[in-house]
Amino acid sequence: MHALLRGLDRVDGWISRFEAWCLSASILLMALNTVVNVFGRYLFSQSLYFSEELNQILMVIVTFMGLGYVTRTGRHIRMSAFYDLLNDRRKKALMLVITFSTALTLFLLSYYACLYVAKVAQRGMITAALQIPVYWTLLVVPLGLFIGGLQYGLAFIKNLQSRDIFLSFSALDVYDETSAAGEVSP
Amino acid sequence: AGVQAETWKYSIEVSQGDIQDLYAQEFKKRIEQKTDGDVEVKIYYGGTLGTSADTTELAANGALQFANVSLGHLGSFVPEIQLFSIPFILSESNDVNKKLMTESKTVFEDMAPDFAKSGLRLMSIYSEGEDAWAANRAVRSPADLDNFKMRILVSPLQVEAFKDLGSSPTPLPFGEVYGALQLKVIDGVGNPISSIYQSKFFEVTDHLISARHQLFTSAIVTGEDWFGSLPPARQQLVQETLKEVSIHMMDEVPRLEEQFLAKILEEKPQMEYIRLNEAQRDLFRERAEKTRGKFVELVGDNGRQVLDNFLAEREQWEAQLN
Amino acid sequence: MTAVMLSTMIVLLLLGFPMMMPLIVATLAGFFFFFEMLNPTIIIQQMVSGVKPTALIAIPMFILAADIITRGHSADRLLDLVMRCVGHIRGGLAVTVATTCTLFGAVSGSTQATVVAVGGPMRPRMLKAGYDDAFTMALTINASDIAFLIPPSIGMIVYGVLSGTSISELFIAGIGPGLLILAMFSIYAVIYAWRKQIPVEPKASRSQRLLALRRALWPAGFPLIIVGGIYGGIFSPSEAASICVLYAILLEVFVFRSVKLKELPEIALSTSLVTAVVFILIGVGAAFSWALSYAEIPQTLIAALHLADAAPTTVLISIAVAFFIGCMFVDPIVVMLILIPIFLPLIRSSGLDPVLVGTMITLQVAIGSATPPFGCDIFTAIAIFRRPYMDVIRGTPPFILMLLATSVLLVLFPQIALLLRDLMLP
Ligand code: NA
Ligand code: NA
Repeated sequence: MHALLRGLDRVDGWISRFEAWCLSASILLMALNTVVNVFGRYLFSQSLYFSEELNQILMVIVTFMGLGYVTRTGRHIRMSAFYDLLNDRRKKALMLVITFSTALTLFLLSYYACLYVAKVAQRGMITAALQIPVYWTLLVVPLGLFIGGLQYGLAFIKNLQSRDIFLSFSALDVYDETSAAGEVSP
Repeated sequence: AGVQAETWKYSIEVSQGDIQDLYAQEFKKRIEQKTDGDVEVKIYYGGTLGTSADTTELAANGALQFANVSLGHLGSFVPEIQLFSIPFILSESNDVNKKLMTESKTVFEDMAPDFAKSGLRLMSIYSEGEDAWAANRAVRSPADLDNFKMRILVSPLQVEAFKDLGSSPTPLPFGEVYGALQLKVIDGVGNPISSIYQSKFFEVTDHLISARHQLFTSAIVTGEDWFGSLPPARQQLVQETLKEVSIHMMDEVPRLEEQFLAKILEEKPQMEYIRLNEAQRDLFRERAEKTRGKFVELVGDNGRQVLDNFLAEREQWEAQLN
Repeated sequence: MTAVMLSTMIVLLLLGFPMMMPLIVATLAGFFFFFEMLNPTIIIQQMVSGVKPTALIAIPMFILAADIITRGHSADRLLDLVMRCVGHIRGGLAVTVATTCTLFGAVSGSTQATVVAVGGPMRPRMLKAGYDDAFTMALTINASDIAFLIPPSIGMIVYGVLSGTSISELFIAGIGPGLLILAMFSIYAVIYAWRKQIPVEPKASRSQRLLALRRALWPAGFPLIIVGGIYGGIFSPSEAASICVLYAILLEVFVFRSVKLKELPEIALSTSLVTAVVFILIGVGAAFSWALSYAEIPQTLIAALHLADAAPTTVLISIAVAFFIGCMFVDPIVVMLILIPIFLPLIRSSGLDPVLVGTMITLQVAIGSATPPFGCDIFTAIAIFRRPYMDVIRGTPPFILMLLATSVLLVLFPQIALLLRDLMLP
């Protein structure tokens, strides 16, 4: 295996562990937050006024941190009817185009997201309930889009270097048969 | 008339026939006439271009020329503007309120730099009528609000204001209010009578309570950059027209409130309409004193100044007009 | 602009790009070529804003609860009870799935949550019983969408507010068509089961049923929390979902001891993955529909139809077609927000009963969420069942035909919707 790929493999591992932690924590916190709000309302006649806002922030984290992780595991939804008809060489060529252009698009969006976050920061908006700067809650957006772009970039490199066709750096272009609800591929 | 009309995009938060729509239509009519066909106003209805926060930002970006947003949503841009969320902060006189909402120096001059920092210019404020309560329970005194789950907008000041009045404030997105009232997840909601009719909340409540504790205030904002790019004469024209429309609407609103109330009572005769008398209102008024203190706490040093200045203005107009 | 955006989308879609790309690139094309004055950061604003609605929280919460009970014992025990009751009837399981989806969707208010919560645990049973996967997935997706018509229906609330129509009347009007569709699906399922000769289990004895019932006593708390909690006004659907998570943890970790507490982060991770797959598309879809409504494309297209003097039936059919097509590409609620104000003057002048129009629109919205290419419920099914796009939609044509037949019946016999209302509200 090339040293480059090994290095990338390691970076990919760090990123994925970080993402996995964020995602998992966000979902559990979302559940906790909502449950506590219900109990607060009934036991103490007291709603958590920030409950909704916290959930919204967590949703943004799950969506954008998830973008990279979904890419990494090759789980993005695609309609592959036409693609599946191609022979392997053409599939490979098309996959190179797909991974490369998707990476570029996500980098572009990440750039726009940086501009957006900078604008929001400059305007000094604060959130309605938690009274924290709005831009804090948005930092995950450029980051997530960037990691997503990076993942597609890695997939592009992997496809260049390897004989097989890769949907992402670590996921081959095949559907695995584990069909239980939402099981993570190893 | 110009060869090609310039299009001004104007968004409202609600649907056709609501007070915000009537305001927008009136502005459209007047400004198109005054500019003699140079300008065409295009109205975008609620939700099509995003949430209230979205359209406010879009106005700041210049993607929209005007956004009508309820004042409660502007607190995240300029905290001081939450002033209007304090119950009984406005006058009992419609004429005084017209002055405060179109000319207040505290609001339109002193807060202007804060709005400008957010890329916004606050053009005009108007009232959509009193914030009446559509409720599952009759309310005549603060004691009746005990354990009463009142739907509010998400903002710390509203939370405090409704706690002070005696209720259990429950933040809920507007879209979920109808269902929550029907299933009695919440006990009531405060909204202008027009919107209680339009949003059909009267279908799922039994009591309509007029405590006249607060007016539902709505604001027209525009982008500071866009507005600055207009020639001074045009700027003045827009400013004047919005002020005219605000005054016109506030003259209309009492009549509209009557109309919408009549419609509610006609479509639902068993609805109990409770109009609190002065003695009953005083009990709520006393409680709202506390909320003023909370406003100052929340906004910081500046808050005391803002509150004092505003109340001084109110007093001055009251003396002058009554 | 419409042509550019649409053709970009279709080409990228067919080439097998990840589904977000056609939407992003079409939106970017709109910004680059048609609104040069606008700052493209609006795309980001709309993507963020698109995933914020509070009602969406129900989706990850139901996914998490379903994930926990599928790994543990609750789902199996509930399903054993179902099998003991209907296993001996040919097509019984499929009819149960359809009915459960309808009920769950009606109560939870989220069709996506339904696909997950019912489809997740039920699909393996359907496969084991001998049903085809394509049939199973299509049944789940389409039956979930009946929920749009059964109260409380968020689509009807949106229509009621936008058009000034009584929401209570709309709620009642939706029941007739909703039940009609459920009946059609059930009949189809039974015919399917007979034609495929799906094997039946021997009829369970009384004691077997009692045993199954006893074993399902604890897990029976789930339907109780969801139905009782929401209809009883104790909590909102998303809150009910999170209470289900809590209950699932209590049951599986502490009562059945089938899931370890330290496995929760991993389960949450898999939940987040499914959520993210769908939410990215919701976010990107929001940006796409923003561009459409900013450019007033729907207005332009509909104005071109010259419907002003059309006969009421023509108006009703045009509305149905417009919503059907709109929902193929954009989130249903967004389609309503955009199209209803455009059609409103026409609805008023045509003399059509606004309740009938509302029912028709809601029906199209239900169909649209399950039709390709862009249907949120399809995305959810792909994410949760981990099957390729084409596999998931392969079984849908018969269902879409039945739904379209219902639309035609509704035009011909408006009483399907209005009779119940006229009886209940004289
Ligand atoms: Na429903
Ligand atoms: Na669709």
